[in-house]
Amino acid sequence: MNSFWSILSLSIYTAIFSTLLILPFSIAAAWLLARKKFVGKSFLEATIQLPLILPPVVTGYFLLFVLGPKGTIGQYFNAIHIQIAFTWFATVLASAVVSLPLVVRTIRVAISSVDPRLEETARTLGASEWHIFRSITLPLAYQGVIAGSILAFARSLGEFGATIVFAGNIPNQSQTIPLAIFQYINQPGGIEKAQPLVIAAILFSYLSMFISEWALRKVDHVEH
Amino acid sequence: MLNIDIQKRRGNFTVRIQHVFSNSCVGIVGPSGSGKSTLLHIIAGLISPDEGSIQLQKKILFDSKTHITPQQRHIGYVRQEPLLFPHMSVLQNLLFAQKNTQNNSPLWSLSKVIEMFSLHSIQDRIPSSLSGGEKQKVALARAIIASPQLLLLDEPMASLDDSTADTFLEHLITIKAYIPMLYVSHNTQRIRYLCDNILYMNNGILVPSSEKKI
Repeated sequence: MNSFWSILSLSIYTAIFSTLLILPFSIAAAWLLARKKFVGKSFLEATIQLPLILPPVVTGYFLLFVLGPKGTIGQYFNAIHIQIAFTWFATVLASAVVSLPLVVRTIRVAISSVDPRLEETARTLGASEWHIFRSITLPLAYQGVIAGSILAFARSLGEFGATIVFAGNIPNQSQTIPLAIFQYINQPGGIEKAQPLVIAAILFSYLSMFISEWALRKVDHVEH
Repeated sequence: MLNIDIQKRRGNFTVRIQHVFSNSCVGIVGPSGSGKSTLLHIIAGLISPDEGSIQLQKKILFDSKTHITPQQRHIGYVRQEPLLFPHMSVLQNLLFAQKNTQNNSPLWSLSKVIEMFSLHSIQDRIPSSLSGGEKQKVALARAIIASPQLLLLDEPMASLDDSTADTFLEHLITIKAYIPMLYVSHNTQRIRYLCDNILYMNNGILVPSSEKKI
C-alpha cells in the first residue's frame, strides 16, 4: 500500500509541476496564435500541435535525442554534471511536452472568444498591450486557462510513451501510475496489484474531464 | 483641427479621404459599407491607411515615417455597441480610463464625470445588469475621462430609444463645447441638431454638404 501512495503522490507532483512549467509558455503561445499575424505562424502552430499526433514514444525519442546524455543540448549539461534524462525532471518534461498542444489549443479558443473590440477600446483609452492582456484578455479567458490546466494535469497523469523512453521506469523517480501499472501487469499476480492504481487513474481522469468541461462551458457562455 | 489625406483599400473599394475637419462637430452620413467606420478606425489608429497622412492639431499621427499608436493618440472612440469591460463594474470601467490616460484634465475628473452623467446609483453594477442607455452613457463617460483631444462617435444612439437618445444628445452637446467630435450616423435629424458641418460619404469618398445645422 505504501508503494500505491508513493506512486500516486509522484504522479500528482509530476502532473502539477509539468502543468505549471508549460502554463506561461502556453498562455503566451495561445495569445500569439489567437491575436497576431506573423511570418511562421503556421509553422509554430504545427510544431506545438505535433505531440498531439506523434506517437508519444517518438516524442520521448526526440527528447532523448536533444536532452539525453549524448544529445545535442544534453551533452553540454552532462559536461557540467547535470543529467536531465532518466530523472524526475525528465518525467516532468515528458509530461509537459505531450500536454502542451492540449493546453495551447484550449487557451487559444478561450482567447479567441474574447471580443477583440474590447481590446481595441482599451487601446483608445491609453492602456498598454501588457496591461490590456493582464486586465482584459486574461481575466475574460480565465476559464480556458483553468480548463487547459486541468487537461494538462489529466494528460500528465496518463502519460506513458514519452516518459518511459526519456525518463525510464524508475520507482520513486519516474514511475508514475501508467508506468507502475505496466510493470505490475508484466509480473505474476500483478493484475490484482495494479487494480488500485487503475481505479485511481479512472477517478482522476473522470474528475479532470468533468472540471475541464465545466470550465469550457463557462467559456462558451462568457458574456461580452 | 484634424487634417486627413489618406487612402485605404477595403474589399472592393478604396477609401480616399482628403479633408480638413475644423468644426467642433462634424457629422458624417452615408449608406452602410460606404467606409464611415473604416475612416474612424483609421483616425483612432486601429487600422493603418495604405498611404497618406493624418494630423491632429500640430501632431502628426500617421505619415510615411510616423505611426502613432492608438494609446498615444488621445482620441476617444464610442461605438454603437458600448463595449464596456464585462468583468468590471461601472466604476472600474471608469477607473480603467482614468488610470491609463496620460493627460488627466481636471475638467473630466472621475467625480465630475460621475456627477455629470448621474452614475452614482449604478457605479457598483456590472455592465450586464445595465440598460442599453445606461451602458452607452457609461461608454461615453469612460471615453471622456481619458480627456481625449478628439471624440469619434460611431452610431452611438442607434440602439437607444428616443427618450434615452435625447438625453444622450444633451450630453454630447455639453461635451462638444470642450472636445471636437466626428459623428457618424444614419440619423440625419440628430446629426443636424448636433453638428456644425455635415459630410456625405459614399464608396469611400467624402462629399462636402452645404446643409447646415437646423
